[in-house]
Amino acid sequence: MALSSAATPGERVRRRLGSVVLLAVTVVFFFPYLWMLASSLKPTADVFKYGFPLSWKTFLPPEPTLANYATIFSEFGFGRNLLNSLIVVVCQVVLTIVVCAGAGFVFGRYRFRGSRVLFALVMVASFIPFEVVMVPMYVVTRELRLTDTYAGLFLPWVANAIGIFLIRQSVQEIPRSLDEAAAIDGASTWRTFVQIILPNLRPALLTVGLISAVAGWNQFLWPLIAVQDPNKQVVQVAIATFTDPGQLPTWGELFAAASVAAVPLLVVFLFLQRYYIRGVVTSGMKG
Amino acid sequence: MTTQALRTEAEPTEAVPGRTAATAVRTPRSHKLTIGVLLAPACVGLAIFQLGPLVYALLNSFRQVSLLDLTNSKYVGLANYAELLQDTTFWHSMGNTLLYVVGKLVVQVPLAFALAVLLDRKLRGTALARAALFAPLVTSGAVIAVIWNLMYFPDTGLFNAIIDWSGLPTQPFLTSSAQALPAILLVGIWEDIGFSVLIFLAGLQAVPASVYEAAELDGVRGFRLARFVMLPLLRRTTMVVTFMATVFSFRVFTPIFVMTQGGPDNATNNAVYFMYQQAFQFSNLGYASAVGVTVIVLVAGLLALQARLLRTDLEY
Repeated sequence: MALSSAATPGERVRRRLGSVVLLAVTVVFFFPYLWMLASSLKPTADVFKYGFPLSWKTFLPPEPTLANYATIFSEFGFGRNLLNSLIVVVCQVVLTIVVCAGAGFVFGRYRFRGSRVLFALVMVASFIPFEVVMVPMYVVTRELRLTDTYAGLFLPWVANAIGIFLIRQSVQEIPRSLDEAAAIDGASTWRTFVQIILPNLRPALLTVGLISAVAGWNQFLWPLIAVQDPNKQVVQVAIATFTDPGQLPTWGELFAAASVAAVPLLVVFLFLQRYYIRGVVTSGMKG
Repeated sequence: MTTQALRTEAEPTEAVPGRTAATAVRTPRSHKLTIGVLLAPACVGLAIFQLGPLVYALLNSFRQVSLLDLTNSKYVGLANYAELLQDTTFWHSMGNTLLYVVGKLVVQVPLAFALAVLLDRKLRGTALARAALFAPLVTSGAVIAVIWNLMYFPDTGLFNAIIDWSGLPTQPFLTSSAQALPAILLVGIWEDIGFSVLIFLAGLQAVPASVYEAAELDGVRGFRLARFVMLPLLRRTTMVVTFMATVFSFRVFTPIFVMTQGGPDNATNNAVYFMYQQAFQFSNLGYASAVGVTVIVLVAGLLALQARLLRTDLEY
C-alpha cells in the first residue's frame, strides 16, 4: 500500500509505531542467535559467570576466544560429525534433484494408463507425517541392512513427494510447443527432457535442492534412531547428546557446536531466501 | 507437509487442450522405456519408504510385535487399541498434545496474521524483521532446543538473569510440571511463526490493490479493514495456516527429547514422544503402531473440523 505520498500526521505516527514493533520483533528473533554466538566466544568458565547477574558482558564476550571451537574439533570429534552431515546432505540433494526431476517431468507432460493413480499416491505420500511412520520406516531400513550407513540416512528422502509436485508444476509452465518442436525435429523423449526441459527447470531445481539441503542438514529424529555408531552420527544429534537433561553440559563447547550447525545454513538462506521461500510457500513444507 | 491437494484443485493446470502426449511421439517403445526409467526411482522410493511403512503400520497395529524379533508376531485384533484406551500415560500425552495444538492456534495464528499485515505495509525495518522471523525456519530443531534449554536453565539461564535483574522472583520453567508445557509451547511458536507469517504474507500480496483502494474510499481502515476486508478474503489462506499449525503441533518431538524427556512427571509427554518410547525403549512395535494410526485419525478429524468451522464462520 503506497500511502506514504499523501501521509497524514496520524498515518505517519502509525507508520513509526509499526517500525518500532518490527524492531522489537527483530530483536526477539535474532536475540537467541546473538547470545549463542557471543557465548561461544567466551572461555567456558566465564559463560555463566557473566550470565548472572545481568550485565553487558552477558551479551558480548569481553575477551573473545576461539578455544571452544578448537576443543569441539580436537576433543569431541565434531569434525567427524560435520563430515558425516556433509556427505549425507550432498548425496541427498543430488539424488533428490535427479529423482524428482525425472518424475516431475513425466507427471507434468504425459498421460498414460495409471498416471493419475500414481500421482494421487505421490500426493498421499506427501501427507504422511514422518513421525507417524517412523517406526515401520526404521524396520524397513533395518531389514535392508541400511541402519548405521550413510545410505540409510539419505535414501529414504530422495523420492520427495513435495519435490516431485514442485517440479511437475514448473514443467506445466513450460510451453508445450517447445518440446513439440523438438519432437518434430526428431529428438527422442530423453533428449527432449535433457536438452529442452531441464534447462528451463533451473529455478525449480534450485528450490527443490535448497529444501532438500535444509531438511537433510537439520534432520534430527531419523538419524537419532537410524544410527547408533557414534562415528556415523550427524551434527544435529551430536549436539543434542552433548548434554543430557538434568546434567550440567560443557557450556562453551555446546554453544560453539550449535553455532557451527546453525550459522552456515543461515548465511546460505540470506542469499537464496527467494528460492527457498517460494518452495516453502507453494508446498507448505518446513525444513 | 501438506497443502498440495488444496492447491492442485485451485489451479486450472489441466485446462490445456490437446493433452494426449503420445500424439507427438514417433517411437512408442523407446518413449515408454524413457518414461519408465524417469519414473521408477521415485515410485520405488515412495513405495518402500513412505507408502509401504504406512500400510505396515496399519497392519502392525493389529498385531503384537517386538522390535527385537519381527518374525514372532501374533494377530491380536483390536487388543492394542483396547489397551490404549486404558493407558493413562497415553491419555495424558494425548491431552498434552491437544493442549499444545490449542495453544498454538490461539496464540500463533492471530499473531502471525498481525505480523503479516505489518510486514505487508513495507515500513522501515521490514527487510530485517522478515529475515529475523524466518531465520528459525532454516535452523535445526536440535540447535533451537539446545539454545532455549540453556535460556530456560533454572539457576544460570538467561531468562532468570533478566527476571532477577528486573526484581521479580526467578522461575523454575522446565523443572516445574506447571510451567514446562507452556515453556515448550513458547519455543514452538518462536520456531514456527515465521512459517505462518510467510503463508499469510503470500495471501495478502495476492489481494489486488484495488480492494484496498475501495476500502480506503469507504473510510474502512485499521482493525475494521483487517476484520471485514482482509480476513474474509484470506479465508483459504487462514485455513492453510491453521492446518499446518495443527499438523506441526502433532509432530513435535525434538524440544521434548532434548529439553525434558517428557517430564517432569509426564507434563510434557506427547503423542510422538510416547510412540518413540513405546517403540524404541520398550520395543513394543504393535502398540506404537496403534498410537500412530490413532494420531493419523485424530489429525484428519481435527482438520475436517477446522475446515467446517472456517467455512461456516466466514461465509458471507
